[in-house]
Amino acid sequence: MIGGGIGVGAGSDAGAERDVAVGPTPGPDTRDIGRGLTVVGGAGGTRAKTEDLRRAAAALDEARTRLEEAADRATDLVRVIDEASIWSPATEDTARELVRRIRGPRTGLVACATRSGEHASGLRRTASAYEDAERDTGALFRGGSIALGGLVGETGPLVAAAGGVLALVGALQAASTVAAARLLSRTPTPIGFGLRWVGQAGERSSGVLGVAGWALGGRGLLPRLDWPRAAATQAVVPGLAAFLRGLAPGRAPLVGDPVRDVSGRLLTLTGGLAWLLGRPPSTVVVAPVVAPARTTADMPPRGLGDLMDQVETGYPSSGRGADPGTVSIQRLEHEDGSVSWVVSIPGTEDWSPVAGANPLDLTSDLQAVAGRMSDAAEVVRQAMVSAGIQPEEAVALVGHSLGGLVAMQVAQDPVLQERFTIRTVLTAGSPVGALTGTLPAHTKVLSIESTADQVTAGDGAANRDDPQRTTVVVDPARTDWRGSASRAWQGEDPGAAHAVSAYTGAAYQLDCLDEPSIDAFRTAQDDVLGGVRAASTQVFQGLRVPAPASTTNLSGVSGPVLGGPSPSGPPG
Amino acid sequence: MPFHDHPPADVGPAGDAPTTRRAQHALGDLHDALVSARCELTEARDVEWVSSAAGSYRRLLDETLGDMERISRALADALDVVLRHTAAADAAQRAPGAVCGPYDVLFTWKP
Repeated sequence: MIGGGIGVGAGSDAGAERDVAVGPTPGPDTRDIGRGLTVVGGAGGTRAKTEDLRRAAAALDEARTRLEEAADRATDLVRVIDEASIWSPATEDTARELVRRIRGPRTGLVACATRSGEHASGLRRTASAYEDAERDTGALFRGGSIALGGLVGETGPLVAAAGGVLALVGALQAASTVAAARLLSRTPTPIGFGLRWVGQAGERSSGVLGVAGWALGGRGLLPRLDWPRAAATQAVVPGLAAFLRGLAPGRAPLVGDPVRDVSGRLLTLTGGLAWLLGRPPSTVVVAPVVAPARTTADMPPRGLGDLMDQVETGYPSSGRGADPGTVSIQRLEHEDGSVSWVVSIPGTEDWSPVAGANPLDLTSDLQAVAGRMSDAAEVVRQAMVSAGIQPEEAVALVGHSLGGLVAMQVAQDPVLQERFTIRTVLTAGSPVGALTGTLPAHTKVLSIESTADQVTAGDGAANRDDPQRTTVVVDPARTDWRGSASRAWQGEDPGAAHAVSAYTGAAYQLDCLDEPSIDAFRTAQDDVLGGVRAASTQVFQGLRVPAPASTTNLSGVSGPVLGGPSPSGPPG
Repeated sequence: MPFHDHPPADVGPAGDAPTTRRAQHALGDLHDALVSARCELTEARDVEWVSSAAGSYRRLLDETLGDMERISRALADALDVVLRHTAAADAAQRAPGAVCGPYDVLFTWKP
């Protein structure tokens, strides 16, 4: 809980100097707001608070300087009074006494200046304490995981395989021991009774007893193995990526983000595969769908839930007639005559390792995680240009899974930042933690994730605490939601947890939630969704086509990729 | 600023009174610095920080702001008294036959 451990020291008596002092180390910046929801970052996050505190400290320093100046002027005044007293000693005492009170060391200007300086120092210490608390063990674990993974990988495939065999043997041995203990616990013997008691007591406990309870309690020969929480996967992924890098021939120096590097190598592999299959290098073209089969949304969205519902509608699998590889762009006319836009981007629709016609595919996933402008992002760029979005018109980008990654890529692209005013970005189930590019000051991001959604952990990086970026993490096991939201989140099956319908349900729940960071996002979103009198939707379809020998502008909307072209297929 | 050219209550404009002019200048600068400091403190008080410590912090700043309010009042009270003192000194210097300070002291000193 933010601010939980910060204390302000108080003086022992009224006259003593007091100081804004730092108490015990505060907790990390994850704010459990109940109902299975945790919020990170945003306007209510640690970074926003520490920036505020440092701003306040600077103001206090400035106040101290001004008060010291005032005290100096009071000293000048005393000097003038002294000089004048030679000519008018009768009026001296009262004048000197009044100015002495103004300057006074206990309650006068000097005291106020000293206290302002002390408050400034105290605030800076408080801000540092918040920042120290933020540097949690997660960063340390990540570094250790990368180092260990890289080290094991460097031992070579044979040693790694031998280690793997040993680990497998150990796991089998442990499983047989647990199975034997569970069998023994069902016997009417004193040992069986003891094991049963441990199993039952441990099921309601945590720590060592909890582990024993998990191993011995419940039905069946072996204990139930749940999917790891996304945070655990997120911690392991960098180590695994470093291990894979290490396995590659030659020395692989450790890098801070091995996941990005491995994604780049996988892209090269899939490109090589495409070349072997005789696929030519491709480029992306985008065309408006003149008579879209899907039902276009002419109702203006009113909140997060409606926005996510539009994304859900864009999936061909939604059963609402959407074509593959399409993004929808909704034009909103406001009562004051202004225009804003909502761009809805679905996630991965084609899981083939070889790039096909649909740019919303695994290749775009790899491109985005590898830090390259994805083909899917190029589809969105061309669609936005083609729709006629003007630079001064506010845009809300909404995406699920790959769609969220793409939305962040577009928002963080320096060239596109000049071309469009991206006011808000809403991502759901997207691994956007590694996308740390700069956002314009007017852009606010809200990311919805789930503790059971392994996809959000795919980049091996946690979403950073940033005043502009808010992350809401849903723990499906702890939500008290009813209706469709509840059904969508039932169970901790990763597939169900990543489903767009689950995130749509979550978004509708968030619409009813009061939380400072979410409220700040909602305020930004009102610039796009507020006061709408008419809405119309266009649908654009992106396609990968064989790249022409020379660059050709197709239909006036296809062109060079901003932020770096990335045609699929092997170079050349 | 009123503090820079505030005339003494019953001694007329500073005119060719050098001591009073210096006092007015110092009082005006003091007043300006105090106003700026109060603005900065008010800005520092409005920090968006929510916790139990934030409440204590605001109470401390309120105390400091209260002290500054008192200082402002004291300054307003001091204004006329100081300027009357300096104006009296200026008048004594301008008086015919004024020789020097000690002469004046001799005639105004009281045990």
